[in-house]
Amino acid sequence: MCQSKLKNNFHILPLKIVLLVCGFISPYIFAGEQSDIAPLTGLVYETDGAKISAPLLSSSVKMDVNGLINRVAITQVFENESGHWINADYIFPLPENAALDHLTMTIGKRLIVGEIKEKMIATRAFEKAKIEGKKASLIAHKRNDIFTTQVANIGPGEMISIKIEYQQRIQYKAGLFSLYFPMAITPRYAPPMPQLGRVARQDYLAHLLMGSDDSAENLLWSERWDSWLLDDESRQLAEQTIQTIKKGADPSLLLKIKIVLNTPLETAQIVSPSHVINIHKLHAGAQLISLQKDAVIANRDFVLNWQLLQSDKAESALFVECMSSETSLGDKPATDKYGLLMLMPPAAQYTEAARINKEVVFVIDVSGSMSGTSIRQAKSALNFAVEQLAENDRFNIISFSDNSEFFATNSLPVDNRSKAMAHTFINQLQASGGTNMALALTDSLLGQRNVYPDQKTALRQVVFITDASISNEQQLLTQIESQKGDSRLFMVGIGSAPNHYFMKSSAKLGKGTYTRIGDLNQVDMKMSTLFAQLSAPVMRDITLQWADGSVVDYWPQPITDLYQGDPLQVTFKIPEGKTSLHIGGVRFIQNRATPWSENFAVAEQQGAKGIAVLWAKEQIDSINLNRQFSSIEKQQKITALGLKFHIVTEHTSLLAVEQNRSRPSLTNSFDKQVKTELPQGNTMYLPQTGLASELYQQLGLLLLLLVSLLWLAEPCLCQNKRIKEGLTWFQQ
Amino acid sequence: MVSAVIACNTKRWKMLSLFHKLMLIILLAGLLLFSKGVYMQSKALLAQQLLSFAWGRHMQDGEPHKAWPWADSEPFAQLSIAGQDPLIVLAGASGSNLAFAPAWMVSSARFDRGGNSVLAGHNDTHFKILKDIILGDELIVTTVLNSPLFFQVIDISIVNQSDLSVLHAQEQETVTLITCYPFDSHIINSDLRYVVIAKRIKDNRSSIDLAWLEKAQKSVIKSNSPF
Repeated sequence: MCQSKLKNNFHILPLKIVLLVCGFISPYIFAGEQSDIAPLTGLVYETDGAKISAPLLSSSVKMDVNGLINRVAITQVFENESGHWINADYIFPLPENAALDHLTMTIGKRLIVGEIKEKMIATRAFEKAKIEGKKASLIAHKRNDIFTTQVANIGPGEMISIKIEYQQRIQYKAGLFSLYFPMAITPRYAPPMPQLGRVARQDYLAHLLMGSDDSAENLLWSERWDSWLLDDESRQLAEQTIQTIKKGADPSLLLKIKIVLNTPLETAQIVSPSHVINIHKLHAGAQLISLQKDAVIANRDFVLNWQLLQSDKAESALFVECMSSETSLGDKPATDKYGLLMLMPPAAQYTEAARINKEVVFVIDVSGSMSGTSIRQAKSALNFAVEQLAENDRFNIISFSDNSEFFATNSLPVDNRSKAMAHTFINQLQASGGTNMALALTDSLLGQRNVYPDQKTALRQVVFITDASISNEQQLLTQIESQKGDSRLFMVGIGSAPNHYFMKSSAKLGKGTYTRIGDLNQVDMKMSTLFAQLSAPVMRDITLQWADGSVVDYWPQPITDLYQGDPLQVTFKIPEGKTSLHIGGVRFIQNRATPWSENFAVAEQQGAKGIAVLWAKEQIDSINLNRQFSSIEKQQKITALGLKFHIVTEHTSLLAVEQNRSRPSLTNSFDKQVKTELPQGNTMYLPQTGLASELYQQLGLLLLLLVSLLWLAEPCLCQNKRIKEGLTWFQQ
Repeated sequence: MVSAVIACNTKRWKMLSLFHKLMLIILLAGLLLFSKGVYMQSKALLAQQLLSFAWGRHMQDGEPHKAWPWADSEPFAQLSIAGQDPLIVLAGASGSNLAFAPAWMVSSARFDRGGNSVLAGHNDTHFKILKDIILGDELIVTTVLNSPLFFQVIDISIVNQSDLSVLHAQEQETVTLITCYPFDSHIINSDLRYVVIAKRIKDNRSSIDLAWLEKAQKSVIKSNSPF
């Protein structure tokens, strides 16, 4: 940072970096650099004339890894060093797939177990307890990866310990297991809210206030309104993340981590690219991993990777959990069984000969909204993508704004000539006009006009590059659903604020992925990751059913295609009497799509834990993305699942309230936020606004003045010179 | 510079004495520096003219218009500081926007939402007038959705560039103007900022207010009433 600032100072050209937000946190930082455990001193500041210090917080994290499931307990100890009663509010990050399902509050020796409640009810009960002077704590969902802990009525000098537990699935890709624990929230400057024109606005209000006879139209308006509210919410959250950032005098946020790694097979290469760790062998198949330092400052995400020693990978694994659920009648305790299947599909030997010929259609948005940086990013991404194509592939490019324009009438084989032509085509693209995405979708998805029947390839991939500044999401999604056929849709979001909802939903419908490029520097990295995936598909159209043909209640839905190194991971409910699971799919062998199927015996395995919660969590995530449900239906379904499986969701929160009041009725309690650490490597400044144009003018004038003075003085100076020359000549 | 290069290759350049060469170079450098300064100033002036035309159209039909075809953003609001000529404000405090107009920081609150709206501008062009502002001066902000909003300057301070606390919401609705400090400085990248905070004061707002209607609607929908 220091260096770059110096550089800026010397640069005369006003290349201004207005908000330098480096979200990139270098994963390779050595422990030597962080001798920065500051003394714990609470910040003291004034409120209503009373000096109150911010609550202190220390967290310890204990992880228990069993096979593919990681069970994590976080203990947050809130300490009030001030002489006043305070209410603490702590905003913290969790992994995106975390299912938070357990809360206990410990006050001295008393222990209160949290209960799951509907969010609204829980919030009200918490506020009531806060006013009544009872100790209480509330765990609520802010975003999929951001939660808050609120603790009411911490007495002077008191300590309250909040223990929360969550569960997460370990990521497994290409032989590498990886777990991740976020520690700091990158403060985000929220994108500007979509501005509505006056006419649109009046329209909008009229629809909302009066409604119309057409229920579909009403639904559309209410959904648009919901998404607008969601934007507003994310903006508020962004503001909050900025406000809670720790300043110099605030206490540091410290964190301890301990991990017990249980693996049936020998592990190798347990490494953490983020922190220095100690590994201690407990017994066969179990290892204790701890940080070398007792506690670290919570400003860098923790990552742990490991591999299995044996090279011949286990091709499949199936775990079963029995969960006894309380029936309302009470006489017969029913047992639900849940299963988790991990399957490595038999990968074809990955050689050039076994390559799959595929057709790739790039669609690029050149509408007016893309002008400026966005179109540069998009062009750069597209140029990169064309270079990544393999020899046997065929490709085409469609650019669209009001109309769509084809690079070639039919998809072209990839060779140097076609690549060069493509680059020329890409470079001449200009952004202007409207966004007629419906037309572009028809052109790219209904691909008959692109390929002659005999040239049809085994796989058709559509890469859609856009900022999705559209307002008819629902129509477009319906269109994708009906037109997608066998094509796979890969969405690439460009610019600072693409329409994530639309992008994610269409990628899900098109069984592809959503890649977001927010920065010109990310183009190469993100696109090469995407293309590495695109080039090695292994299996598609995966279906699950019981051997007797009945339907399986499995999540996530739908199952995406499998690519090289991806395992199939699916959770499902096992009804009574089902013993054999049938999995079918289409494999790519020698450029041919070949059906593949296999049966798995669902036997009682050793007691795996947490699969039921995983199943519920997957289902919640799938419901969230399912556009066939209205927002009210979604809320009902998610609330029901959250309550049944005790999970904190958008609509359910965990609440623990003490029975007796502890704060004397005459004293007040003050709301205080726990200050969070800025992620390492993140720097933000107020905008730079001094260009010193006047300095340039003054300097320029000064120089001109100097020249004119010299010019005036010239005859005099030169005469002197001539006299001198004359003198020397005379002397000679 | 080009002429100097050409001159270099010609015989005439060789014939010039060292003194004349020096004079020519100083002349060129002086002209370049001066015109660069003038260019920056005139860019800011001209852009404001074009922006105010676009703003007029925006106020007429409520649809955003670009001031020039290749512009990155549309006029966002109109700001009048202490009775001076009104300035058009753009959304997004990026370097390119700031060259043309004061800019609203997208992370801060929108106008008339009860929060803290932050505007940044260059201290040598649009926000030069902040130098002369005193406590109690009046700011008027007009957006397409609202009748003019009136603000009164309640605080002027100088902060370090890393002090983000000025972005935070206050107890009341405020506008915060930020520019580099010191004014007339010969430092190009100063690390100090001149911050003017103005709070919302009462004005004669029209009785039917779209923003109010929308707020009311928001609260209705939040309580989940189907319609």
